[in-house]
This record gives sequence, C-alpha cells and structure tokens, in this order.
Amino acid sequence: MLRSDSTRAIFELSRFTLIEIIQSRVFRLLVGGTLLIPLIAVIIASLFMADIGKVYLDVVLSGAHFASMVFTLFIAASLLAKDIDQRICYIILSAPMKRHHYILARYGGLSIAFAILAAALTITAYIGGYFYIGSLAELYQSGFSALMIPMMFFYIFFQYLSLISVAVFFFSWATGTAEILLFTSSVMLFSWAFPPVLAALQTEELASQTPVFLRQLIEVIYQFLPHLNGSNFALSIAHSLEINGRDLLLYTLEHSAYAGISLVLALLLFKRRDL
Amino acid sequence: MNSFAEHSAPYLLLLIFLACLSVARTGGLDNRHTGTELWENPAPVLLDTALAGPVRGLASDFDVLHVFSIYQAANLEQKRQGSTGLWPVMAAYLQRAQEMDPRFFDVYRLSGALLAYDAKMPHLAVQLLEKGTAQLENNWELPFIAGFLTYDQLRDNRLAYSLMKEASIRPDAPPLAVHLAARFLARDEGNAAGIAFLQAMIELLPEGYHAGLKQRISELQRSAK
Repeated sequence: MLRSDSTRAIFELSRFTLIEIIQSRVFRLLVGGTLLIPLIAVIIASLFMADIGKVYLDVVLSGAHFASMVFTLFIAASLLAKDIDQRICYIILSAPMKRHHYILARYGGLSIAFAILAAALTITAYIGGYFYIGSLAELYQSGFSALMIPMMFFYIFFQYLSLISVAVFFFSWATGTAEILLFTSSVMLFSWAFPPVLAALQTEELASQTPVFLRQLIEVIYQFLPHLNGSNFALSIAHSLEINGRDLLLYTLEHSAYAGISLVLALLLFKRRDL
Repeated sequence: MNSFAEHSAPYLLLLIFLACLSVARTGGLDNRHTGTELWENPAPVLLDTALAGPVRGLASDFDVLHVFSIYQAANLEQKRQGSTGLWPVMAAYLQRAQEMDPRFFDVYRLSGALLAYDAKMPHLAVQLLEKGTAQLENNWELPFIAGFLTYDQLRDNRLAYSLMKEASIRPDAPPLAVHLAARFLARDEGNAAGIAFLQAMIELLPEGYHAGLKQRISELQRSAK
C-alpha cells in the first residue's frame, strides 16, 4: 500500500511537471522551432558541392544540440530554480510527499518533456531528410540514410538526460536561480569544450608541448564531467557508417550511470537540506 | 506637457534613435565586415576544436564555406593586382576542415582541384589526400587523386605508382582504376589520360571552380601537340 502511495505521488508530480512544461511558452516555441531546423539544414546543405547528405545531418545534429541546451538551461534549470525562488517546493513538500519522491518526480517529468522535444526533433529532421536528400542524385546524398536520424537523437537524448540530472543535483543544494543557472551552464560549457581539447592534447604533436601537470589537471576535470563526447558518433552517423554495438552500449551505460550518480547525490543532499 | 510626455515623446524618441541608427549604418561603419582580416587570422586549432565541441562536422562545413569565399576573393584579387596572399589562408582552412572531419569528401575534391591547380600548392594537396587515404581505409579515389597529382604536378613517378597501386588494391576500386593507372604511367599515353582525368574532376565541381583545371588541360593539350 505504502509503495503504491509513493508511486502515485511520484506519478502525480511527474504529470504536474510535464503539464507545467508543456504549458510554458518557451517549450511550445522550442517544439515549434524544430520545424525550422531541417529548413536551415536544407539551406546550408544546398551551398555545398557533393556531400549534401552529410552537411544536412551535421546541421540537424547541431540544431538538436542547440534545442537540447535551451531545454536544459531555460526549461529544466529554470523550473527547478523557480521551485526555490518562489518557494513552490515548500508548498509541495508540505503535502504528504517525501523529499526523494519530489526529486524523482521532477526529474521524471523533465525527462518525459525532453523525450517529447527529442521526438519532435527526430520527426521533423526525418521528414526533411527523407524528402530533400532522398530527391537528390546518389552522388550528392553521400551515403545518406534517413534511418540514421533516429540514431542521432538516441545519442543526443542520453547526453542531455545526464545534463538534466546535473541541474537537479545543483538544485538540491543551491540557494536560487543565479547559482543553479551558473553551475549548470558552467558544466555544460566544460562538457562541450573539454573532451575535444583533451583528445587534441593526446596527439603526439601537442602532448610534447603541454606541461604534464596541465594535462593531468584537464584529465581530472574531464573525469568529473558528463561527456558531450559524441563527435565520433556524430561524424559516423553523418556519414551513415555503422556504429559498433558495444560502443553504443557503453555510451548508453556511461550516461545512464552519470545521470544515476547525480540523482542519488541530489537525493542525499536534498534530504539533509535545511528548508 | 504631461500629455506630450506620455503620448508623443516616446514616438519622437523612437524616431530620433531610428535616425541615429540609420546615420551610423550608412555612414561607413558597414565597411568593418568587408575586409578579409577575419580569414587571414583563423583562430588557433585548439580553440577551434574546443568551440566546435561535439559538432565537429558543422565546424568542418563552415571551414569549407570559408574556402569557397576565399577562393572567390583570391581570384578577384589576382585579377586586380596580379597576385594574392590568400592561397595559404585557403590551404589552412582546408587543413582544418580535414582535421575536424576526415571523412568529408568535399575537402579532398577541393584540395585536388583548387589547392593543386589554382593555388599551385600540389605538395600540400597530396599531403591532405594522403592523410585522407590513411583514415579512409576502404576508399580508392583519394589515393588515386593523390597519385595523379604526384604524377602530374610533383613529377614523382615512383610515388605516383605506389599511390595508384594502393588505390587499385582497395576493395571498392573499379577495374578502370587499374587501367587508368597503367595509362598514366605509360609515357606515350600520359597526357591523354591526364586530360581525361582532369575532365572527370571538372564534372564533379561547380562551374565557378574550373579555372585552374581548365588551364592545366590546355597546358597538357599544347604539350601533346
């Protein structure tokens, strides 16, 4: 009975979170904006000579990153920050709801809303690719396969689930909007820039020129961050190359584990938080 | 007075600011965007890589777009002044695009045509194509184009032979590749085969990018006579 009560509480707050997000204008704009991404991709791809399919997928992927970052910062982190600033969490927690249920439910609602956005991105990109790239001669398609688009969003989805969990982690101890937005955006910025820098530093030419302590420092920071390390996946997808099943599994595991760790830490910190 | 401040003043201010903006925009400030200084000072590769993050593919696309613009500007400058310093800049963007996305085929097409024949930098073109050859293990076109440039521009038949041989043993190489390779390396047929190859390259490029290749074709035609 107890278990079903907690499940119901989590389910209800998740549903409430989802409705709250769907009713926000920024989310609707973002979902509507997904129609523009394939259009921009078509315009940019048409400037190229032969690898038009590849350029289309590059632009669609970058647009998906942009939309996902906007979601993480301006929807997920902002919603959580509002809970503290406007004392919404106090109201919800004053009802018979445990703190860890509250965290799980908020994360659940945010994840489902993000899944809706990812689905919208996938559908619009798929339709654009199917009709535009599909209509081109084979030489210009550069091996384009529309089936790669769902794969692309699968990889985007897991990356940003771990970043949303980072926002939840900051929410569990931050004092308000400024802190949550500052820390979440910093993690996003580092996750964006560090993996490629580290990879570049590992090349023989640069490794010999970089002080050892600097390389070690970067390596340590790298291990703490969720990795937006999909550039190799992204390039493979853009060139419609087969992705190794083992790599895909490890990738999913890495991001799920990262999301899990952030959430558990958030639960522990939020439980002890003086509200 | 209050009524003016409430109703008319905002519109009046809006008009004044719009007038100021149009004066600023038409008074010469637009010139700041027309120079080539941004191309000539590309950001360090490491910074570029950090900025690109997980969207390296898009970064390489933009580098190639830069190549198109630089090519047009370099041709214009060459016509006006007789020479241009923009070719090394174009080469830098091609190298960068190749590093960002080694599978981006447009980079190699542009290297084989514009870098080798317009910019007269065949060494660099071959270097880029060889890098691509090492990274795209199943592709026969890259070693083949590299082999042709080595034969036609660097005059190194030995290296040309090894590159074309490499191309002909790759899994997707058509029998035509072996046949063409043999013709290039046979002295009597070298020019005719070279012209045929350059003409095939022309077909892969838009019209605005044919100048260097056409010039080389006419050179080969003259020497054949």
